[in-house]
Parts: sequence; C-alpha cells; structure tokens
Amino acid sequence: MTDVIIVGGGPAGLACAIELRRHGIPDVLVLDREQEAGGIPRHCAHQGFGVRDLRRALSGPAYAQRYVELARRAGVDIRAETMVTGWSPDGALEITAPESRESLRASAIVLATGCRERPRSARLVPGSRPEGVLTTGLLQQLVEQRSPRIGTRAVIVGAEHVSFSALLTLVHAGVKVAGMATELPRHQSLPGAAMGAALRYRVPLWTRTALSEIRGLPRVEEVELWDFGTGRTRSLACDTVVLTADWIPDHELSVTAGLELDPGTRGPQVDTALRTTHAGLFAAGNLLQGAEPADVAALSGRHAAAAVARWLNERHPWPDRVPIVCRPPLLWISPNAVSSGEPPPRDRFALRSNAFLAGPQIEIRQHDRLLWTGRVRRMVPGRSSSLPASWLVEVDPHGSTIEVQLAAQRH
Amino acid sequence: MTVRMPNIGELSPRPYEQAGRIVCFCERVTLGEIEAALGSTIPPVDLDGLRRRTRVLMGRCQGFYCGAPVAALLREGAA
Repeated sequence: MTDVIIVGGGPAGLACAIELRRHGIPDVLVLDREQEAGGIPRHCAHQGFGVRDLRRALSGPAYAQRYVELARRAGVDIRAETMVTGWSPDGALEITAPESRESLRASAIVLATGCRERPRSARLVPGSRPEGVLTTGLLQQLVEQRSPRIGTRAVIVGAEHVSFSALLTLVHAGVKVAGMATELPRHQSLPGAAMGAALRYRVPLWTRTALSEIRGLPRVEEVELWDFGTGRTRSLACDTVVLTADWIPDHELSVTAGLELDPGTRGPQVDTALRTTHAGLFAAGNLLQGAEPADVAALSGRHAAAAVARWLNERHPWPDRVPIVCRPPLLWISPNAVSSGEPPPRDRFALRSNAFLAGPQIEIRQHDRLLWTGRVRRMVPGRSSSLPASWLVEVDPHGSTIEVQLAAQRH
Repeated sequence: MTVRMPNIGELSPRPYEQAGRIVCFCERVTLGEIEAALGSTIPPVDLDGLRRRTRVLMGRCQGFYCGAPVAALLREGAA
C-alpha cells in the first residue's frame, strides 16, 4: 500500500509531495487528470508566480514546470492523464488511466483538486444558450490554442484580479472589450486597475451592474445589462461573454467521500493542520476555498505535509474538532475548524467578506468567551484578509462552535 | 446526508470504467468516445452536436476544464 496519494498535481499537490519527500516519506504518488501536471498556472501567461513560495517571479507556465521538475527531482511519482473518479466501498481510490482502471489504497490521502469559476448556469443568467459564453479559465486556453471560438467583441462579468487578467488576455488576442460589469459598487482589484483599463484600453467599468440576459443563437449577439442604481436595463452588442471569478472548489471527491463541507467556502472543512473530518484524509490548496493565489495554494500544500507525516508515523486518534462559523457580512474563514493549538498555514486565518468594509472590528467568540478581537484593514470582496492565530490556545476543542463576526453585531 | 442522483452518463457501462484518457472530467468522457463520434458515418459538425452525442461540456463545470481540448479535437476531426 502506498504511503500517500495526492489527488491533484497543481501547486498545492506538488508542494505537498515535495515536502513529504523532504520528511523522508518513501512512497509519494501524485495523480493529475490533465495531460500534464502543473495545474491552472500552466495556462496563465502573466508573470508574478512564485513570490511567496519560491522567492521568484515567474510566468504561470514556468512556475508549473518548476514544480513538476522539483517534484520529480525529489523522487515523487507523478502520473498525469490519471483521474480519480470515485471511492470504492473500502475507501480506496477508483482510478482511470489511459491503459488501466484500478483501485488504489494509501495510508494517507491528500485532496488538492483546486477550484473553478462557476459557469453561466450556476450563476442563473437567463436567455438563450449560445456559443461564446466563457470563463477566464476557458478563455486563457482558447487563446493559447489560437482558437476561432474566441470572438471579436467581449463583455467581462466581474471586476476582481482575475477579471483584469481576462481583460489583458482579450486585448492581447485582438478582441475588442466593450466593457466590464460588476454587481458591486467598486472594483475589487488593485487601486488604479480600473483607471488603467479605461485609459489604456478604453474599457469602461460599470459598477452596480448585473448581466441580466444573454441573447443570440448560435452565437452571442447581445447581452442585457441591469443597472441597480438607476433600475434601467440596456442592451449591448457583443459576441463573447467572459464570466470571471465566482469561484467554487472542485469538491466532487470531497462530497462523494462524505466529508463535512464548510458552508462558507464549500470546500471540505479542515482544521488548522488541514485534516478533513475523515481519518487519514487531508485537503490543501484552493480546494479549501476559492481562490487564493497559486503560491498561497502551494504553501497550503506544504503545510499539510507535516500533519500527513505525523499521521503516517504515529497513527494517532483523529482529533475532535470545533467548527468556526462566520456571521454575515463575513463570508468564510479558512481553515474552518480547530482541534488543537497547531498553527494554520502561514500562521494566519484567511477571512472574506461579501461587502466592502473599512477597518472593521472583528470578534472571535466561543460560547460567551471572547477569544480575540482586533481591527482588520479594509476588506474587499473576493480578496482575503488575514487574522492572527494567537487565540488558538484559548479554544476549548470540546466546546461549542467558534463564531467570527463584526463587533457591532453582538446579540 | 448526501443523496445522489446518477448522472445520465452513469446509467449504463461507459468506457472509462475499463480504461481511457478522460477528456471531459465531469461527465467522464474519454478521448476514444470523442474520436468515435467524430469518426462516425454522420459526424457532428459543431460543439452542439458533439456534446449531444458524447456528453462533453454538459457537466457541472460547463467546459471550464474541457472546453479548449474539446474544441481542438473538433477542429482536428473536421480537418
């Protein structure tokens, strides 16, 4: 039986594998269902990958290649074109590969299956169902392939970092970008991003604006945009709609394993050591929440390796845990359970809000005890804020659920 | 408790249960099934036709993962 099987060969899975080999674990197997391992960064042409983990600034493809190379050099067995389709009744992984179908067991399994952008159907956008409705992930790959599927005039839905990446991708592919629409009152990227887009590429940013209908067949002909501020709708001619952000963890295997999911992140609930609710099953990277940058996902994978190694060496009882829940407008916290004083990845918790908040006072309570309170710098939807982990030692692991909320909302 | 409704693609035996290069992960559609459709007597001429015959692009991700590889296969198949 293999020591560890890691499902997903992106930054998190590969970083976990490399760290496990560094811990001296002999059999580390990484399975990736794509043609090559490396994960989503393979398709991200822009620079800036690897700052936090590799102390470099690489392009996405170079970063992905680097991790695959580091893993191979570390003695990790990587199998690409190999998909885990489900679980057998005895907890083995059911795997399809080009020449085989097998059931593989391991002493420890790490799920590192990443996240994806939600499609048009999940976003409940009415209208016809024509060609030309893409997510950023799909757009990037189509541009790589110089596919004729990319049109000539696009509308971008969303205004997060990834949305501005989509903008650059479209511009460099020669596609006219008619505009960018976000339902929020402001964009959620770096200061100057929207101004830059408007000045350099003449792309307007429409805030408080929703995509209310897609029209046309067989290809998109126009979209309807609904401005919440004025209440008016208008039509905009285009042949491509790029739906950006609105991430969801790719949690199929987590669900079919019967793992408890965190309702905020919709990824598997994990404690600070990245253990899921099943003994021997761990999770790391953007499967936990969508979407942190690739290097943060890699550090998450690296962090999980310590707990995996400990499990393999000790087979300790799987610890009890207390979940952490967030009250609106706070959306989720990651990790989202506490079983011990073990620190979370990067010694911090990631917190997200669904509203813009200026210097919110956050409170963390367990029952009536205030575990921590502090002010967080502005919160922007779609971007994580950090909470320290110093309060972990105060937690009663057999006590009631931990609650995270804004100070003004005490009951 | 999770209640599962089988996917349409899980109602009868599928090639991925024997082996294969799965291209559409959500619906477990193998490269062989796509090539068989493209090589059939009356092949599909566009993505709509291909997806109806094979289930590609019809899963939860709606082409996030497989959209580009499938588009490339259709282009090659049509060539």
